[in-house]
Amino acid sequence: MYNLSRATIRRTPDRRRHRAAGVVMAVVLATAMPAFAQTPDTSSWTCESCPFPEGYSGDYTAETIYVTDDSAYLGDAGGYDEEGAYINFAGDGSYLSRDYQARWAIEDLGLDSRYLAVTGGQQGLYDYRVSYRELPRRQYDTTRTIFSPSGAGSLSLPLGWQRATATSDFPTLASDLVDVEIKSDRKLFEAGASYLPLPAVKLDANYRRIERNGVDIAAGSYFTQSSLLPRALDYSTDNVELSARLAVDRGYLVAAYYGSFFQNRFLATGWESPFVTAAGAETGRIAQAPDNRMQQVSLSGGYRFDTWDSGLSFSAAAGRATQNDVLLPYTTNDNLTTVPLPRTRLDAEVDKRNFAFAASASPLDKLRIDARFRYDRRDNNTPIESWTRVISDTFNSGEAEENVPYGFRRSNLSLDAAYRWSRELRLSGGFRRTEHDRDHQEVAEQTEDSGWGALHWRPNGRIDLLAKGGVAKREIDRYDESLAFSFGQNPLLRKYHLAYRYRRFAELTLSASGAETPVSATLAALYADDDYTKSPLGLTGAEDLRISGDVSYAASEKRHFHLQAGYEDIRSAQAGSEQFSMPDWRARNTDRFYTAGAGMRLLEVRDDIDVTLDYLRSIGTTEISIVTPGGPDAFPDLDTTLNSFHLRVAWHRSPRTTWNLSARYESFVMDDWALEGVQPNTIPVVLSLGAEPYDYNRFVIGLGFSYRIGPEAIRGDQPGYFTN
Amino acid sequence: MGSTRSTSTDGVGCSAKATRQLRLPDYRLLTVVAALLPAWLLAQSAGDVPYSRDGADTCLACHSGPEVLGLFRTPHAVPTDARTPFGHGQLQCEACHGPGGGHTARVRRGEERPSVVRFGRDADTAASVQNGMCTGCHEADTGFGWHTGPHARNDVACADCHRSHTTEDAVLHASTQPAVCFDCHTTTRSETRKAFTHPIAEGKMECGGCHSPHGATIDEQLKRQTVNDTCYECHAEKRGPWLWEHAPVTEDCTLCHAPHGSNHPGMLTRRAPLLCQGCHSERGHPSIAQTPGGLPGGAMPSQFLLATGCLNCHEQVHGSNHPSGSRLMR
Repeated sequence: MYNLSRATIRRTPDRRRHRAAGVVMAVVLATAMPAFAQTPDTSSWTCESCPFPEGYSGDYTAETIYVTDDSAYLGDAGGYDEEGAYINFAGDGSYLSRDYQARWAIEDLGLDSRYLAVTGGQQGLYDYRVSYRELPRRQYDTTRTIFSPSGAGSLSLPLGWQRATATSDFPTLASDLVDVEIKSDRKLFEAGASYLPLPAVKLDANYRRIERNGVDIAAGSYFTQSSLLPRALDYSTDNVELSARLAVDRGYLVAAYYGSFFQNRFLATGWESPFVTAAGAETGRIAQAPDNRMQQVSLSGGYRFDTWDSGLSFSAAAGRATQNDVLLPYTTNDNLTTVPLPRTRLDAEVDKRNFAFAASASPLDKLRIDARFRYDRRDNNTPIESWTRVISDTFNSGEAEENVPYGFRRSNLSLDAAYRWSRELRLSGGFRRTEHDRDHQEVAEQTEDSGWGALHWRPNGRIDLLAKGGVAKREIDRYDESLAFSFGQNPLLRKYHLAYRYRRFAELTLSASGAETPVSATLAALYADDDYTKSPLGLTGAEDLRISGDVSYAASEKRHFHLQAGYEDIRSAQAGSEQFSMPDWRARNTDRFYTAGAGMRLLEVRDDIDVTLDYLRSIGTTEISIVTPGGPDAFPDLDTTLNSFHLRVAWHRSPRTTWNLSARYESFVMDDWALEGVQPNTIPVVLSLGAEPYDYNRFVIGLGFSYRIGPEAIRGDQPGYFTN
Repeated sequence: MGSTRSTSTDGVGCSAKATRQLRLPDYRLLTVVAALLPAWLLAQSAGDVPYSRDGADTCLACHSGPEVLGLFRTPHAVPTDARTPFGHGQLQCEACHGPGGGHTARVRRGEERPSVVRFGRDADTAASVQNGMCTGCHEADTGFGWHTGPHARNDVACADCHRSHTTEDAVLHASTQPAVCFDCHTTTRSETRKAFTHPIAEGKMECGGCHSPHGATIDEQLKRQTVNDTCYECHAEKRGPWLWEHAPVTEDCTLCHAPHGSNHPGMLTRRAPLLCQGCHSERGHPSIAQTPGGLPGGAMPSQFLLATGCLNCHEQVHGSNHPSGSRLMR
């Protein structure tokens, strides 16, 4: 919402110095200088040279694309998962008139990632927006299964299947395996409208529906054996948002409603066990996500004051998440006698409260103070009942256990101050306290205090240095070992998010640009070191280093070059105990990631040709080592390597027509011991899907033709971001 | 200072007000001078009104390149919307750039032409002044906590991200927005290039799908009230409430997931079973050290390591609604 009389200019020190002059000014302006205080007479500002567009305009592109190989990974989200030719269509356009404006966009119409959007309305009075997007999820195309859908989310074994106790003993496995793709599609439909009954009031309504259909991976376990299942998915979420916003002088107030309604067509996934089972346990059933809903109302606002150039904002929200889907029976095994379910529907209910407050002020010319407070609580009012589970549809546990409704209260308060020491140097620091109370967990009360200091140095307009560092200490009131033991946990374990932790962190950002040469460079580094010195078991330490940098060179408005690189090193150490006592094994995990990219954007290489080139190389490596009483050992590295090269050439044949050539080469190689060589029968007790690590290299070649309708395009009005 | 603030709601529009506000410090200074040199000042007053003579027509006489003309296809240049700079009676270019009278006046040879308010990262106008021009109209668009948020605190100017003179503002489109954000958030750009991530690099998901860069109630500048509420917007199937909850899931999805990207499938922070063993130490298989001996070719290919690891059985890690699902296997 627009604020009709608000003029927000943060006072700079220079302005402060003129405070006395301002008083004089107020008097003098009213008498001697009335002309300065008046808005100019703009009646003669006809803006005859302003090229206000009228009518239709747009660019539309038809493209043929050829993909040289199949790959689920490349098709994930992009839609190019299968080898072959694609016809694609894209474009955007607008209709503009004095009283009505509409804009639309089309992307990837011929692919599974298609997107269409229309917005329109009379600006300042109302607008509407409608969009549709498909988002393909392509997980694996190398998977195989023996299961086939048999309706209502159930999976059946092949006819004549002979059960065995181990996967290697299935006599007809090889012949019964059929290809199955683990893939699904998200469809997102959005519609919304805004109306301004008054210039200061904006009413907004938005609706969003997300549908997901397809197949993902589930696990159908049977005691010590399991089968990975191609589970059918068919669910949707409807989100509704309504808001009313009032903009007053120097402030605003927003009242909003948010509702999210999830519906699942399948209550459960059933399957026939391929393993030898106890009598009556030939079929199993795993619950799918239940229908649920979340509704929330909120009120938020902000206000700016003259005094100390201060401002405050607040937000308060109250919501309730509920779930009352029908409960499945304990078991599918009719041979078992079970106690009755304590209830047929759970009637789960979680209340959420969120409150936030922020304020800022400059009580002195050079000093700025910020304060933020936040409070969240999750009150789980789900009824607690006793349940007597059936283990793997095979036998009755005979032990009643209660469901645990987890809840928490979390607050944090932060106070920051920044002092402008000089025109070039700003010093800042802050303190933060986070308190966390939990229900039904090993740690009831937890507090984390952190402090930081930063230096921001700008010796001139070309160099910008930010250095920041701090420490944080997380303390707990006590770790309830008896509660942990009642959950079956080793009392020496400290769950890492509930444990004492001492953290050191630092951050450095350096930006520089040339005085005469149009070169700019940025270097950023983040570091964090966590010690869990009071954790005999569990995570004992973690370290995180991230460095990234880029260099841009604009030889001219039409010649841009870009280089960038990144490095990450994320380490963790943990301890475990096979003997259920003191640590007797330790493991280290090191994730490293390297990425480097280069790009150039050459406009008007020839008068009518633009060329864009992007290259990207990313390498991920994970090293896992473990020390047991048997000695040290190390897993093979988990590696991923991506190379991507993308050339785009646009030949502007005429002011209205353009030919586009796109050539993209991409290779991806993955070494993953969790998948490599794991056939469906490799694991004796798990019938897997035999997914293979991704490994491809292929080209995506496209040739397109664009046509422009309406006024000629304005070439070069875009800043030209690099896609890699 | 109150006298320097306009409280009028005469419908002239925010742009004029904001511009007038910007000039006030100069007025003050001039007023002091005026007290000493009234004759000189009065002689100047008629011709020294700091706005240009003909508004945008004056500006376009020199600034008519593609870097400017795209403006007329944007929401800022809709004559029928009185709130916009080019609305009826508004100050056109000078609504945002401030009075241009000095800038458009003749200057002596060798004399530097007075500047107007300029926008962008390389501009000589302070970010706070740039942002003042924008928030003069868009204060309510900034949302919760802009003034205490990390962007304002680090002197990020609106024009560092937004382009108001181009037909398409790259930061408003899913396919181009991440590149704008990554201009500063370079480490995040690296993260999104990992093998397992959200479809950001593909241009199918924008940073704004989760983050609210104009201000948010939580540190991560997320759209919703909590991390989990933000995730549930697209992943409502994980929301529950469940009969059998997995405690960390109810608290914070990022305890297990790295939403910007990971070396591990599912964007997990570590590979199972080590990730799970960080919290699970029960007697039996949760506490057993898994070694390379469990890989294919070893004595006993391990169900705890291969395929989906712990999820080979405990598939319902986000919660289960099955009465027999307390171990998250049903």
